[in-house]
Amino acid sequence: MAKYIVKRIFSAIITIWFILTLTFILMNSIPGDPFSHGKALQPEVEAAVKAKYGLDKPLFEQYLTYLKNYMHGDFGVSFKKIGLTTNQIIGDGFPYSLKIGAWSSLFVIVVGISFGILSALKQNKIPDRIMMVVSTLGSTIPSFVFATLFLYVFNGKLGWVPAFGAGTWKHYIGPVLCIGMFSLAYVTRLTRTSVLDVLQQDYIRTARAKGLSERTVIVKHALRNALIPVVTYLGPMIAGLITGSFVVEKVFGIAGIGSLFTTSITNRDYTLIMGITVFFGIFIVISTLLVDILYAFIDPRIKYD
Amino acid sequence: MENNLKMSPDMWTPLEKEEKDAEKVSRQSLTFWQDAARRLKQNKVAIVSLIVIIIIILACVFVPMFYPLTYEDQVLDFANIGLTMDVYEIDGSYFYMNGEYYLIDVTPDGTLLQKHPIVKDDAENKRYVYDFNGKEVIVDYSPYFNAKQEYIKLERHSKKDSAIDLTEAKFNLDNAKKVEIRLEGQEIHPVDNVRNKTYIMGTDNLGRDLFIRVLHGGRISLIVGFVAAFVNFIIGVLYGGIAGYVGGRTDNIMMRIVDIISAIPTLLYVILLMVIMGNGMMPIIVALSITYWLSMARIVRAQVLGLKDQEFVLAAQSLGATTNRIMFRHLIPNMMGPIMVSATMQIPDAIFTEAFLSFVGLGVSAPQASWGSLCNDALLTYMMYPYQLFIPALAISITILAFNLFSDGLRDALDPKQRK
Repeated sequence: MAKYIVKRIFSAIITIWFILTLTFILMNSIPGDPFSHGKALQPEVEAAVKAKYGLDKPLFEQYLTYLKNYMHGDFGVSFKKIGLTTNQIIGDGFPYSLKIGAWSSLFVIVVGISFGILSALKQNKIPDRIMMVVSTLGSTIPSFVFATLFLYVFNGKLGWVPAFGAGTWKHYIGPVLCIGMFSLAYVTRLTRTSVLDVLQQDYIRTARAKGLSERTVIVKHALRNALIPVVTYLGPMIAGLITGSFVVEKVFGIAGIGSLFTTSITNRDYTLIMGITVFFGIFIVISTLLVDILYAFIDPRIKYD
Repeated sequence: MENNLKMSPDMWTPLEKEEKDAEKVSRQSLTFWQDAARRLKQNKVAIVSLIVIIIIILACVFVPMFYPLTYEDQVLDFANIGLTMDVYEIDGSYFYMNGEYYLIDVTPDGTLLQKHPIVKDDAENKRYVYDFNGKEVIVDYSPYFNAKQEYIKLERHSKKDSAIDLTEAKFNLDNAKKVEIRLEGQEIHPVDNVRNKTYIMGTDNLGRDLFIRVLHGGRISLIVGFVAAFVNFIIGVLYGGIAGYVGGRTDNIMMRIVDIISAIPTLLYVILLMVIMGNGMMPIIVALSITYWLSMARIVRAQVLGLKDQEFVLAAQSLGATTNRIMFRHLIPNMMGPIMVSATMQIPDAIFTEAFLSFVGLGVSAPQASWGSLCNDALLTYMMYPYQLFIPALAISITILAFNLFSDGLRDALDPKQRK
């Protein structure tokens, strides 16, 4: 077990290093430098600015400084938002995304798993059919279409929810639903398949043969095993939901980390793009790591090699 | 023993016809592909999806060739005109009022003619004055404008003084008429609601035909989908094939690399690549191609591992076939099923990602259009002109749905063991 955990941590570190290096290489292959746009600077000024940001040093030295800074949690300064560091900008936006992501995860877990179980227990009956159609649509309709449709109906036609910003709880209904839609469809399907699979196992037949009530069979014997594959998916899913869906935050006008990312792309704010990419990457790698370790505890049958 | 060899004449009588056919295989023998095609044909959902896909592809390829308008033709006067129009009539001349309260001459059946020349733009009284055959027509947009101003003024005051009640002003605003058309002092109303004959799906905010733009966008989205899936197919098959066939340490290192790449969120790197390469269709294809081949490589590797120890490979090896020949003539044809399924599943994924990138503003650049960028363009005004958003959105959703359902059907047909 300990060996497995160490191995997973090691591979997570390698992945993070890979993310850092890849991002560095990609951002350095952009033609020109951050100051080559707009007005031409005087040579002395340009040299001074470059010295300030360490851009006059050889590339490899820049890379080492970059690694060192990032490892210390210093993600650099924004090139376009003067005077702000990437850390501050992420710190401002992240709470919104965290809040939406957390509610969205809760929504997906509760609704998705119950829909999946219900669907499996009523296999090929009407509730199952309806849920399968809904989940097919959920995984088909792009989230930006879903989000605008939601606003059009519930804001434009019915006026039940506000359109923009993140003030009251009503502001959060749309983003939470729209971000969770795709995962909801996936979790429903995954739970359904998994429960159907488990219900055909011999130990379920044994449990029924012993004369246990159907309720006990399902809750105590079937679900515990059926939910294991679902748990594996939840790790990366929660990370994805929390780091925010770019388009949903754009449509709902929420200044979360996703919309920060899209604006930094539009502004070509390279350091911010780099910082947010690395932040996203590390967040996802670490949460996957945690789930993998947790998984080893939940399911003792897992092979550790 | 002797007795048994004795032959009697009745042993030489011909068999009855039924007895003769008893051992015959009554059904025609089917190859793997014929069998799969038969199973696919039984799946109604998959067949309907396939027909939908074919119709979409044919429409996107051929209609722009024959259509009188192109995706970049624009008539600014006809901007933001919907699928149907409320037309007004004065003395046999028909007109339509657009969202900016300008009048446009139309024929009674809904063909757009021209913008009606304005006599006086009376900004002070919030009205336009027109002349129809010597009669004065006034388009008065002041009621709503005034109510709005009143509301804004009250709202500002109410921040300081909580005694001010906004309900009445809000009620007035909600019930204020947006615009009023008066013919010599008398208000007139639309006589008919007709379909837009000039632009069957209306126009966008620059007066370009939305129908042809959606079809043009479909071309781009479909090209991206197919090319990206094809490139992924090539890279995935080669990479997975080599890893699986060579095995050992090579396999280990190659698959570790795949593991590491798949641990990073691909979408972020597609975005980074787009930032570096700039907008356009080629960058999207390149970005998707170099990041999305991982699942294909994994599938191919697993298949090769399963197949390479089978007798037919051993037979080929002992006949002296080269590695290339074994790979391309023996292994790959035998795993076409799972590969095809995975490739068809990647097409909607690629279309999805393209729409997403264009929606974020990283897609094709104007005047080109793709479904994602059309949705993005319509986003600012979707309350006023919802059709501009919903037509491309519907196109994306139907296409992705059709591809998904078809690839589900294909999976069931080619790989019945995997059926869920």
